[in-house]
Amino acid sequence: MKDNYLFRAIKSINENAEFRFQEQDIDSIEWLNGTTPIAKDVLETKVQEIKDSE
Amino acid sequence: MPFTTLKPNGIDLSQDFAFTGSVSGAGGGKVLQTQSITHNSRTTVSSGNFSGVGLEDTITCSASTSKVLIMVSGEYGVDSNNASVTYAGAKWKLFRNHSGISETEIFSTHTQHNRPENSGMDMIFQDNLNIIYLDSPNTTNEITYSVGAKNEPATTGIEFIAGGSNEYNKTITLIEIGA
Repeated sequence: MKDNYLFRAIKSINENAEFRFQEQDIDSIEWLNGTTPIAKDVLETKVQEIKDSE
Repeated sequence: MPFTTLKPNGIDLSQDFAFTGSVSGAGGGKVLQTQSITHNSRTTVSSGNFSGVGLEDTITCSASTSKVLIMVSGEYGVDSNNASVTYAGAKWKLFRNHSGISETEIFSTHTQHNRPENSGMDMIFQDNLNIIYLDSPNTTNEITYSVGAKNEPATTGIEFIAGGSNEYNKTITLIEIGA
């Protein structure tokens, strides 16, 4: 699951976030059980940060 | 002199037979139809409630007395995501949705890995989900069987399929069996 950058990005911002998504598609994210959505641009930036750090 | 019915003691399966009658006395358990869906897409879930993992299929039984054999298989992974936890687990449930009227949990199972540390070292375990369950839906309405998952603790997440799409598969097969 180390290549699941979107999962890692979300959890690094909110480790208790509840969600579901397909593949690595940010647009497919469903925020579950009252989780406050994280903005798309914030997630894209975080994904890139994680990739760059490897 | 009375007639004597001669019965064959075997059938030559290399020959062709054209049946014009019917077979009786064969008992129950006849396969009436099958449905099956296979995906190779990766669904990621992190949820405190059971959430769909992208695997479901629909069947409409020809009789209310029929049973449905459900078979599910798929590879998955659970990631602790570097959180300070001593375990990571996946709970699974099989649901029967009756034409949108009701959703019933019909089977559940659980996998968990425990570790003797909580320092935040990343923990990923991968396993196979296999469910075989014989259901008695008692309806001729359309029914949908779906697989849901829930991760524990909250900081973890589940991939179904793990390791990226196109590498492995997840599948659900429904078989209607006549009474």
